[in-house]
Amino acid sequence: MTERSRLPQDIDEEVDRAVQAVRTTAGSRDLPPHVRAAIVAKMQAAARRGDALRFLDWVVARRLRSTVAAAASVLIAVTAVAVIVALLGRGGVAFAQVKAAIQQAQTIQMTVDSTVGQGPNTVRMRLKMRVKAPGWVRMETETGESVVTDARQKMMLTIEPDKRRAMLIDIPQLPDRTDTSPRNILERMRQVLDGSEKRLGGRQIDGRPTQGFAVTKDNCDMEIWAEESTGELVLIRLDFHIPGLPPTHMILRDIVLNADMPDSLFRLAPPEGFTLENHAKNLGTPGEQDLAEGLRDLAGWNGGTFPEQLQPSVDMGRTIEQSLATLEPGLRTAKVHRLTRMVFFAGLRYEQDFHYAGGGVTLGDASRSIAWWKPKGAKTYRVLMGDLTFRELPAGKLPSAGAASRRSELPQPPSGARTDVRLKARDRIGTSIREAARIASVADPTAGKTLTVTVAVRATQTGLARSGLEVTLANTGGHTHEVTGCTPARG
Amino acid sequence: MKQPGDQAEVTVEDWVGIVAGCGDEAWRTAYRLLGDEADASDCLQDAFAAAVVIARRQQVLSWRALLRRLVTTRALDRLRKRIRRRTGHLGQAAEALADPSPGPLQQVQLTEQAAKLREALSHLPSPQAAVFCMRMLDDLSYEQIAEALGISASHVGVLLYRARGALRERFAAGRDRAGKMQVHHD
Repeated sequence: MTERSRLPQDIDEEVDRAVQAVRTTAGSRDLPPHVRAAIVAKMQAAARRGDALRFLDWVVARRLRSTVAAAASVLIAVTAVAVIVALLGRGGVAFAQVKAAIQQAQTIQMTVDSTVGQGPNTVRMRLKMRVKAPGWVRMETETGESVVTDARQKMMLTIEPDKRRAMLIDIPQLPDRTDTSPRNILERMRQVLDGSEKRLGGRQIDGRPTQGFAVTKDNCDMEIWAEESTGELVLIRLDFHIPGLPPTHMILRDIVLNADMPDSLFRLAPPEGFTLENHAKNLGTPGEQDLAEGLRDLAGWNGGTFPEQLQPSVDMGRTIEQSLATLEPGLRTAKVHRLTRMVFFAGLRYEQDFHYAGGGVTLGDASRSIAWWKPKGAKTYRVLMGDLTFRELPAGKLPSAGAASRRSELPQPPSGARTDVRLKARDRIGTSIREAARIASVADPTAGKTLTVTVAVRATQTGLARSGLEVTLANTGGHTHEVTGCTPARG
Repeated sequence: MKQPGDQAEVTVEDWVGIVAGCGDEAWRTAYRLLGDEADASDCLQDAFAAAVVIARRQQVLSWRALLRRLVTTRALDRLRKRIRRRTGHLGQAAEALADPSPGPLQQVQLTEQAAKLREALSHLPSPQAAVFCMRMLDDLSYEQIAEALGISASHVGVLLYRARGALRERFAAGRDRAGKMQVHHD
């Protein structure tokens, strides 16, 4: 007797009837609109949560970027406030009271929409940032993760509620200028006034008539929009290009001065019930050997060539994680710490004109420079070569940070007119760098012939590699031909 | 709707399109298994949120297949938890009683039969239950089921055969219990 035959013969029919009953009672319903909306909202929250966790991963979890990000976050706050004070100081009588309020402010609070990285590695997030003198910064994501930075103690605490975990990390050599006291802000204001400033005219933002200003200072392009009648800050846009960090764009809104902020918000202690991973005092002080050995490791993970940027991409990060997972714990920790110190070393040299140009260079190539910076007070640049040795070089002997080229035809000149070519190159916000440009080749600019102009950019000219070039060609016949959209090419 | 093989960076607009393209089918799957709008809504939210997380880690070749798997397995999980919360052999009866909608006798019978199947499904091993639901409730082909669950079509057939066998056993056992109870009360 088979197994099936011992069962009642109509049992199959009963099962089928039950199946039909489920289908009948459920009907052919479509997704109700309110459920559809709830699903989309939940997906958005999950996506933001993913971004937030990726932010923390980026900031802390892999120990590859944390210290530089911490330094950047504090400097962002201080720089923004200093620029605000400087620009408002140039306004009318009504601004005097606002300026005084800022100078006396002990706290600053703002909402920050940030985009970090580019292409598939882009991370977008919304943060609430709170700054309190002297040197405290707290950033919170929409899903509850937090990063607290104490620039005085040079420590950072991250809090991940979903894992009920907190991590404490030391961030040595954070610049002293991270003091957010009003006295320090005034000092910063004097420095900011040296930056090139451009008025942007008027614009309605959130229904408020505003006036805008653009300023570039210390690897940061800024736009500040303040309400015309009151001088209140409405929106600040920041574009950061700090070596060692991916491109960072931020929009600051809801800026409030002197909001109530208890000191407890900035304590470097985890919430009750959270486990604390204490990594303080075990990172070590970054040195140039960390840069060299960190790059050696990166080249090893990148098939023998140095990566395009110090900041590992998401794909490279996965390769690194897989490789690290095969190491015994002590060695794994040592390598992660070294990579962290490497990024930190580079990132805090942004005021020393740090450049990294190792992308595509083979490990061991002694003829290629892969990184350089000018130590404070030095007359020459410290240069790291492809074979990981160090040299001292004057600025004139540094390699080009890149070259931009564009092929273009000149317009028809008047008949018989002699044409000369003048070249002007400007960076994105209009600063003339003509003196730094060198025309590598100019063909006969007769009408109908193609003119090739190669602009070699000297390494000490900041801004160009990130912004591209606007190349203007003009001939003496009065015709001009603008060539825009140049981007640095590998050279 | 986001195309198969697209990179993991999915925008909000993509998600709206994915919900528009897959939402109705997913809703019917969840509702058939759970028989309750609130439960089905929660199930779908969890499933689509899980899809977001998965999409960040890996390339999704077929959103429809992924969501079929996520919705079915999550609905079955919810069903099991719900039935476990209600005790023993009363689980099935409690499932039937859980439907608050009174109606004509035929509706009541349908509801009881549906509850019986749900209760039986909750006791099946997950792969068998998922295959049975996709085949018998959602009318998916063997190939579609194989794609959703990441198994071969022949394995789908094996799981389906075992699922039907297990359901027959449970239904038969249910009849035996009903018979004994009736004898006891006579």
